[in-house]
Amino acid sequence: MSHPTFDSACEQTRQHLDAYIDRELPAEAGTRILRHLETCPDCAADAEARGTLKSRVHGAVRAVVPPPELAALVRRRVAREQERRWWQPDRTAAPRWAMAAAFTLVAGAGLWFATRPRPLPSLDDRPAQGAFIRTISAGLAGVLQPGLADHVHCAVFRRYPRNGPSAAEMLAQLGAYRDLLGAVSAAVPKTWHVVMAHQCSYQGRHYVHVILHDGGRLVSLVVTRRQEGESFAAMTPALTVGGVGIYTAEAGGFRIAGFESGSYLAFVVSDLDPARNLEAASWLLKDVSRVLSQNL
Amino acid sequence: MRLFSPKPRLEEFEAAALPHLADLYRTATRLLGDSGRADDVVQEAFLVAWKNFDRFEAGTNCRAWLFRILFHCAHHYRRKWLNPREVAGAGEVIDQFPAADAAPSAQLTDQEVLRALDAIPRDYRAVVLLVDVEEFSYKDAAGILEVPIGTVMSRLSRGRRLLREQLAVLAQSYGLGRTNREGMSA
Repeated sequence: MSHPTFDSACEQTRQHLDAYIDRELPAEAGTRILRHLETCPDCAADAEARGTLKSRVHGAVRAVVPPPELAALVRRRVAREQERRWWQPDRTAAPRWAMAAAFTLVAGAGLWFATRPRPLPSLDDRPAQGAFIRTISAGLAGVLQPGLADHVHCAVFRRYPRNGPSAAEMLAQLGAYRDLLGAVSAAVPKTWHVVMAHQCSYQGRHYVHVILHDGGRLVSLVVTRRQEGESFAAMTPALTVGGVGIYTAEAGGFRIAGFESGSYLAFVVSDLDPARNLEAASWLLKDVSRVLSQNL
Repeated sequence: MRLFSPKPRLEEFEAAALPHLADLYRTATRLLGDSGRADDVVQEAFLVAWKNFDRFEAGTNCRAWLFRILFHCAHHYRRKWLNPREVAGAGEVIDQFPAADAAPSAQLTDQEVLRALDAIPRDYRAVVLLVDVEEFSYKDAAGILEVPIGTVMSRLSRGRRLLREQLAVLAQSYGLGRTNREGMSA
């Protein structure tokens, strides 16, 4: 049964209905509206319709999720800006110190220029992507370069969505390396999600690649067959797990932790902090080595 | 006397700002109508926020501060990259649609709700996003948009009405739900 007339109480209620739904009314006014709604089906239906609309819009917009690499891109831009800002002299500094600062700046400029984070090329510019990877890899030990190259080429540039292929599809794509998926999933924290696992290639080299996402950070496990001359022998391990050394480096804002496993090289590459990236490699080393030993 | 400016608080910035990344991205996507543009604007907004983080007072509303920056960045992005007709928005529209007092049909999908939202003028859409989706108070929404609270309230009311009208038209076109007249009690 509807309210007999659209009276002034209805008019006043509808004027304040949005504020009532948004809990923006003072308590007394809110109580007045509530009492009216209890006695007026038309206004109550209107209030319900407005509330339903609000919750539909809320749900529909919030179902949109950012691409997993966006947080990494933000971090890189901020880190680049921080590096630039840190070297700017304070305007209030005394001139003699400013001179010293200028000297330091000039002396450090070459080093900074060589190691600064570079802007990412656009997603459809393959030549620029190749140049980007070559540039950031330039100062890196050769044995670590394959891990960084495949992570940037495949995980960073490709922008795999958070809800990637099904486990069955990923297992099919891993083929003989299918046991890696379970091994990796079991070794990493529960908050890490596999967004892609497959076999891929870059610059003619074959890789097995598992890409994980953790709250906006991208982490890759990259596996490739060791090629002639590639060895960690000239490096000092950052950590040794079960007699196997893990070797680390940083380049282009990415952290790389690599280890040997039989005829394979394995890398954990990410924008995690260095200690966390090394820790991730230590979690994976044993189980990844076990799976790879089945594919000699 | 300092030789260099104080070391920026990168970890503090990341801890305070990055948890709001998804909220800013969602809003930017709806404001600009394109996820690629939203990517660019969100990155720019975080960069601006970082450059001005020295001025941000710990303990105040970081989320509202970030949204204010986001709206500035989106405004500049539109002026710089989009054509003037797109920047001008839809203006005053849609009065030709019937009034809609019924709730949106449950059979409409989220995509259809988003399409209806994207179709309302940007000023109204912005307030609906801030209040209905991001759950800002009218006062915070007014601060973010730099308009009086009364303007927030009138845009919200008008925006919701336009949205209901859009959804009613959409539902009618699918043969769903009721028309306005049918929806009103006798």
